[in-house]
Amino acid sequence: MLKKSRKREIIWGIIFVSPWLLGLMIFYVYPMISSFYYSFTKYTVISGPKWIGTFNYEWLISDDIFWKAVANTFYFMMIGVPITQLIALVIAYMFNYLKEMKSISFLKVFYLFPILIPGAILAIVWNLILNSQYGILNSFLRVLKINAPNWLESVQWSKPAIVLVGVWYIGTSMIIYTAALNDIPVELYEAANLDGAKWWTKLWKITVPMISPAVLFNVITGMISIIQLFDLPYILTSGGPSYSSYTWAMFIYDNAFKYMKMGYASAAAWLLFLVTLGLTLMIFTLSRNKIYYGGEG
Amino acid sequence: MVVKVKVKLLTKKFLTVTILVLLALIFAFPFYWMVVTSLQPLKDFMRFPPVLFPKHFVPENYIKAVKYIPFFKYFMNSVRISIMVTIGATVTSSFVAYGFSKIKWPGRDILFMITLATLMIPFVVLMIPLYIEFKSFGWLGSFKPLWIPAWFGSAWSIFFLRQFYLTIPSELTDSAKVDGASHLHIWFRIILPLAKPALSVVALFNFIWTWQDFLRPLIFLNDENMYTITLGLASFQQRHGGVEWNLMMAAATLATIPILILFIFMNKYLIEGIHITSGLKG
Repeated sequence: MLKKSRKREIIWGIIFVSPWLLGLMIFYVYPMISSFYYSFTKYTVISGPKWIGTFNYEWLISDDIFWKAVANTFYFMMIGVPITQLIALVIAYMFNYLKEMKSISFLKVFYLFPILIPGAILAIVWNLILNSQYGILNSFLRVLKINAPNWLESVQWSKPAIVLVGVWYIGTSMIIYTAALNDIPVELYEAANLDGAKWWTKLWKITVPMISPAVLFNVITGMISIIQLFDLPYILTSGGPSYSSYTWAMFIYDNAFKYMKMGYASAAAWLLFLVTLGLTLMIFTLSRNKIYYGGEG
Repeated sequence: MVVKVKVKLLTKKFLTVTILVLLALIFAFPFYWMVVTSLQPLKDFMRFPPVLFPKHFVPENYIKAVKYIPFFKYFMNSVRISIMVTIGATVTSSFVAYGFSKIKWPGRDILFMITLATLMIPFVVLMIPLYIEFKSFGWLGSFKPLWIPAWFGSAWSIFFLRQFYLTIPSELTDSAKVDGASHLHIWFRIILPLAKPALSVVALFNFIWTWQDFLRPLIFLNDENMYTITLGLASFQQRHGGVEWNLMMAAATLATIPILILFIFMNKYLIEGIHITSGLKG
C-alpha cells in the first residue's frame, strides 16, 4: 500500500501536468489518429468520410505531381540543408577564431536578425530583389555583363533561388555552432600542437568530433523544417513554374484546402510523417558511433 | 622570425574580419533594400543602372501604405493573437513544467518523452485533422484556433522551463516542504520568481513564432478582416502582384518594427534560448 504522502505527490504531479495532458490528447493524439483514419477515406468535408481502403495511397503512387513535389522537397533537403549548415559552420568558425576581439561579436546581430523576420515578409522582399526585369540582383548582373537568369520564372532557377533565400536563416545554427566551438577545451589543441599535429589532423580529430552533437541537432531540426517547407515557395513562386518549386507541404495544402480532398491530402501527410520519422531514426543510427557526448556518456 | 609569424597571424585575422564584415553587409542587404525601396518614388528603384544610395526620399509612402493596405487592422490582429498566445503558453507551461521537474510520480518521464516527440511532428501533418476538429468546435473564422491551444501549454516551452527548473537546487523547495508549504505555494512563491529570466525567453519565443506564423492563419482564418499582418501582406502581394512595390515595402518595414524592438531589448535572451534548446548548455 502506498503511503499517504506518496499518494498525494502523485496526485499533485498529475494536477500540474493535466492542462498539457489534455492539450496533448486534443491537439496531437486525437488528430494523429483521426488523420490516419481519414487517409483511408474519401472525405470532402461537405460529406462525411467514406472508407475506400488503400485507394488514396495507390492513387498517390501514380500521381506525377505528388512525385514532383516529393522530389523537389528532397532537393531542398539534400542541397539546401548541407549548404546552409556549411555556411553557418564557416561563419561560426570565423567568429570563434576572432573571439578575443570583443568588438567583432556585435556583427553576429546581422546574421541573427533575419531569423526573426517572418518568412512570408522576407519572401516578399526577395520577390522584389529577384524580379527578372527590375530586380536589383539582375540589374547588377547586367552591369557586370553576366547573363542574368529569370530566377523565379525559370524552371531551372526557381529551386536554387529558394535555396539562396533559405541561406538567410542560418542564424540559429550559427549560434549553436559558435557555442559548440567555444566549448572545446584549448588544452586539446595545445596537446596536439606539442605532438606537431597538422591543422587538418586537428580539424578531423578534435574539432569535428567535439562539435558533432551540434551538427546532429542542426541537421535534424533543419531537415524537419525543410520537409514542411511552405511559405517561401508559396510566396516566391507559388510552386511554379510548371511545378518546378512545388513542395510536399504545398501538395498537402492544395489538396486539402483548395480541392477539398481531405482523405487524399491526409494520405500524403501521413507519408510525410513516416518519412520524417524514418529520416530522424536513420540519422540517429548512422551517427551513433560518431557522436561525442562528453565525458560521462 | 617571430615578427614574421606575427605578421602572418595579423593578416589572417584582418582577412577574417573583412570576410565577416562583407558577409554581414550581404545579410543586411535585403533589409536595407526593403527600407530604401519604401522611401522612393515608384519608378526610382527600378532604374538601370541600379542606384544603391538614392538621394531622393518620399516618406509620404508610409502614410499611403497604411491606407493602401489595411495595415492597422492586420497589425492589431497580429498583436492580439500574439499576446494571447504568449500569455497562455507562458503561464500554462510554467505550471506544467513544475509537474515534470519538481514532483516525482510514476509515468512522468515517459510522458515527458512523448512531449518531446511531439516537437518532431510536422505541422502539415496535423493541420488537416485540426481543421476538421476546429470546424466541429465551431472555431473556424475566429481567432480561437490560433490562441486557445497555447493555453494548454506548448511542448517547447514546457521542455525549456523544465530544464531551467531542474537547475534550481532542491534544498530551496525541500525546506519549504518541511515548513508545510503546498506545491502550489512552492511553484508560485519560490520557483516562479527565480525563473523570471527563463520565463522571458519563453514569452519572447512564443511572441516571435506567433508573429511569424503564416500557415496557421492561412488555414484557420477565412475572413480577410481577421488576417494577421504576415498573412495580410503576403496575400495582398499575391493578389496585386508587382504593383506599388514601394508601398508594399513600407508596410513590410512597419511590420518588422515590433520584432526589431524586441530584438534590440532582448537579444541576450534570444541567444540564451537557442543555447538551451540545443541542449548544449542545458
